[in-house]
Amino acid sequence: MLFNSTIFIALFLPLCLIGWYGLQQFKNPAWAKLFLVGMSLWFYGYYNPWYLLILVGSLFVNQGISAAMERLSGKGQETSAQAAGKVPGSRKLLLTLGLIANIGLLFYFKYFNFFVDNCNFFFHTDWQIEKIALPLGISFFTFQQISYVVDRYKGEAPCYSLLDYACFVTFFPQLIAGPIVLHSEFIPTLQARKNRKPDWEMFYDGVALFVLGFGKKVLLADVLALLVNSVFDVVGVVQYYLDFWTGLITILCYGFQLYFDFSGYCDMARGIGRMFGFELPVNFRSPFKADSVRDIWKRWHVTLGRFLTAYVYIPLGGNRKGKARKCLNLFLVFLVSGIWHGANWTYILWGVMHGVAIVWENLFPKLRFRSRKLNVFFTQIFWFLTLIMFRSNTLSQAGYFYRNLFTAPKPFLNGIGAALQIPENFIIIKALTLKAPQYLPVFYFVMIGLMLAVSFFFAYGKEAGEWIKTKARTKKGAFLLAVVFLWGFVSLSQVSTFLYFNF
Amino acid sequence: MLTGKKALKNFILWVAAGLLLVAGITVVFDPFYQYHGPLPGMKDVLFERESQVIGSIRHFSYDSVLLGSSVVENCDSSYLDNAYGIKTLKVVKGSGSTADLMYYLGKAHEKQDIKRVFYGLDLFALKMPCEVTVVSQYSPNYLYTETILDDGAYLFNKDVLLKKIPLMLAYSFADKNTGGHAYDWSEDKTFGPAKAMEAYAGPYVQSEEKDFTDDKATIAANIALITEEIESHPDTLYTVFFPPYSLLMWDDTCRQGELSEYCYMLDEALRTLLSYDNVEIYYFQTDTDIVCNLDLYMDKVHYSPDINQYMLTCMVQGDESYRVDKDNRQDVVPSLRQMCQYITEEAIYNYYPK
Repeated sequence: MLFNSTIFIALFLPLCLIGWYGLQQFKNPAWAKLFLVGMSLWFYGYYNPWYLLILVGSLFVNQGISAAMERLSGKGQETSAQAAGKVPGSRKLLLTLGLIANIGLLFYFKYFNFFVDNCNFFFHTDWQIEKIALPLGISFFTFQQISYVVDRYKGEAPCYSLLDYACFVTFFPQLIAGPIVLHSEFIPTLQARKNRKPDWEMFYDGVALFVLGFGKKVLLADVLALLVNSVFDVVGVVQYYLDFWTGLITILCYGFQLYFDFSGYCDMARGIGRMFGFELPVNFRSPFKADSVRDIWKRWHVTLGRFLTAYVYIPLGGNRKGKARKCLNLFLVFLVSGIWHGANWTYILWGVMHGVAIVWENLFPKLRFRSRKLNVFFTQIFWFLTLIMFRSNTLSQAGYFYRNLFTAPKPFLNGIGAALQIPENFIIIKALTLKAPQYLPVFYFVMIGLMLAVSFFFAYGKEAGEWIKTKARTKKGAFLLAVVFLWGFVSLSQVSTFLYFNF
Repeated sequence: MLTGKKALKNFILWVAAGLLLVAGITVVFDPFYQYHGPLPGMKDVLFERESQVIGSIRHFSYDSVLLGSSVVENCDSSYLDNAYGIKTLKVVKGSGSTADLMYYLGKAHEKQDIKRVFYGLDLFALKMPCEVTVVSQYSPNYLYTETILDDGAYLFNKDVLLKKIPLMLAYSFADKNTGGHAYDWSEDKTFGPAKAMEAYAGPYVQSEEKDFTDDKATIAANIALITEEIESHPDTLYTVFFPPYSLLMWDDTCRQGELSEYCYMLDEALRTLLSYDNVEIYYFQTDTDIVCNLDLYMDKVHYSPDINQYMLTCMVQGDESYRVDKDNRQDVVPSLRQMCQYITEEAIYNYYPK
C-alpha cells in the first residue's frame, strides 16, 4: 500500500490509529501490538501477498537466532566466556548463520539476476534463470535485522519477545523505504506504558509532518518526475539530441525530485510514527546545504550512513588501522552503499564515485575553498553530476548524458517543458494552444523556471521539522497544512510509487 | 500558539470544509454526468466517451440511440432528430466490441423507452471477444456503479476539478461537442492521401487465405448478442448500417488473407439480422466512389464528416441503392469480393507504385 493513496489516507490510517489506541485500553498491551502487526502485514501484502512469506520468514529466522543466542547465555556459556574476553564459538556460528541468511536473502532476490547476467557476459556462459521479482523494501528490513543480530551477538541488545520484535520489523511506516530504524529506537517506546494514550502535541506534529511529506511527494516530486522521465525515457534509447541546457535542467530536476520523493516519504513515515507515539530517526538534514561529500552523507539518507558506519566501516577497522586502511574502508563503505542501492553497474559506479571523492577529501583535507558558499557550490555540482549515473538505466545512457552535457552546448531545450502537462496549467496551455500557440514555448520555459524556483526554495529553505516547531501550531499553520493536504489529496487520482521502494 | 488538540481540530475542520467544497463543485457541474444531466442554461457537452457515455445513458433525456465506434462519432445526430422527430443520444466506444456496445444499449433500454436504434456495425467487431470490457478494464468503477460510496476518486479529483469542469464550461459556451456533435473529433484533423497512407505500408505482402474455423463460434456469439437485444425489444426499430472503410483497409484485409472471414461475417450478420421485422439494413462498404477516394480518409478506416452526413441522408431518404433486404442480400458478398478484386488489382496502385 502507498502512503499517497486514497485507501491509505481515508481508510487504513484512521482504522489503524483507532484500533491501536482503542486496544491500548486493555490491560494487556499484546492486543494492540498484535493488531499493529496484523495491520502492518496487510499494508505490506496489499499488492502481493506472497511477499509476506519472505518478510515473515526472515522475521522468524532472525528472531530464532536471537532466541538461540539467548539460550546459550541462559546456559551460562556466554558469561563465562565473556568473562575471559572471548566470544563462544557457538555464538559466532549463530551470528555467521544470521548474516548468511540475511545477506543470502538479499543476494537472491536483489542481485542473483544481475550476477547471472554478468557471469554470462564475462565468462560467456549461458545460464538461464527466470526473472526474480524484487520484494518491496527488502533492503530496508534486511539491514534492520542484520543490525539486531549483530547487536545481539555483541550483547548490546536484549532478546525481545517475538511480538515486540515483530512489531519492530513490520511497523508499516518504516517497513518499505526506511528510515532504517534501530531496535533501540523503537522497542523501548513500544514497551513503555506512557505511550498507551495519544500525546496530542506529538500527534499533531505527526499529522503536520505527514502532510508536509505528502506535499513534497505529490505536489513537487511527481511533477518534477514528468520532466525527468520525459528525458531519461528517450536519451540513449531513441535518436534524441540532448543539449547542455536540457541536460542541466533535467539533472537539477532529478536531484530535487529524488530529494522530495525520498525525504517526503521519510517525513510521512516519521509523521505516522509520531501519530502512534514513536519518534523515528531523522533521515535528511538539508542535504543541499552540504559543503563536502562527507557532509552530504551526514545529511542525506542519514540512517543508511549510520548503519554502514556501525556495521561495515567500524568492523573493517574504521580509522584505527592507519590512514591507508581508513581510506580503503571508506571506499568499501561507499561501494557497499552503491551495491545496496540496486543491482546495476550504474549504482556501483555511483558508489565508486562517492568512495573516490571521500578518499580524496581524507587525503587532502586542506584542499578546500575558504568560502563555505564556494564549497557548497562545488559539492552540489559533484552531487548533481553523480546523480546522472544514479538515474541512468544503463552505463551507455549515462555515458551519452555526460558526453552531451559537456559537448552539446547548443541551447536546443528539446521541448522538455511540454512534459509539464499538469491539471494546474491545463487551462493556460489550452487557451494558448487555441489563441497564441507561438507563446507556448515561452510558457513552458516559465513553468520550468517556476518549478526550479519552488524546488530551490523548499530544498534550501527551512526543514519540515523546523517549520512545524514554529508555525504549525497556529491557526494560519493549520490552515496552510489543510490546503497542502487537500491539494495533495485531490492529486491522488493518478498515483505514483516512491523511488526508494526499489532499493 | 494553539495546543496540539486545538490545532488538530482546526486542521480537521479546514480539511472537512475543503473536501465538502471540492465534492460540491464536482456534484454541481458533474462533467461525467454521474448524478444529473446538464445544468439549466448549460448545453449537453460530450467530449470524452470513456468517461461520459455511461453517465449520459443514465441521466440524459432521449428516445433513440446512435450506436457505434469512432467511425460514427462524427455523425450529426440532430439531423436524425429533425428528420424523425426523435431525440437521439450518441453512444460510442472506440474500436467498440459488440459486447461493450450491447452492454451500453442494454443500459439505455433500462433507462428509457427506446424508439429507434441506429447502429454502425463494424465487421471486425464481430470477431472480438464477447466479454464486456468497459466495466472492468478501461474505466474507473465509479462510472458503472450507481452508488456514491465508491465515487471518491471522482469527487476528489484534480483532473476533474481543473481540467474536465473548465473544459465542459468552455465547450458549452463555445457550442463545441454539444447536441448532435457529441464526441465529434473531426476538428483540426487532416484528410487526404498523404495522411491516410501513413497508416498503410502498401500492397507489398501477400499471405495465404486464413483458416478462420476457430473464430466462427465467436462470430456466432457476437451476432447472438445483437439478436438478443433485437428480440428483447420488438417495438424498437433497428437501423443497422455498415460504414465504408477505405481501399487501404480492404487491400490490407485481402493481402492478410482475411477477406473470406470478412465475407463470412458479413453474410452471417445480414442473414441473421434480416430475419427480424424490426431491422432495416444499409450497406455502404461497396461504394467505390467513397472507398477508393483517399481524399476522404485520414487512415485506413476513418473518413471525413461529409461521409457521416452522406450516410445519414441516405438512410433518412431510404436510398434503395444502399438498402439491403431479403431479396438482394445474396448480391452483397459477391459485390464486396468484386470490389476487393478491383482494389487489389487496380485501385490501390493509384496511390502506391506497383
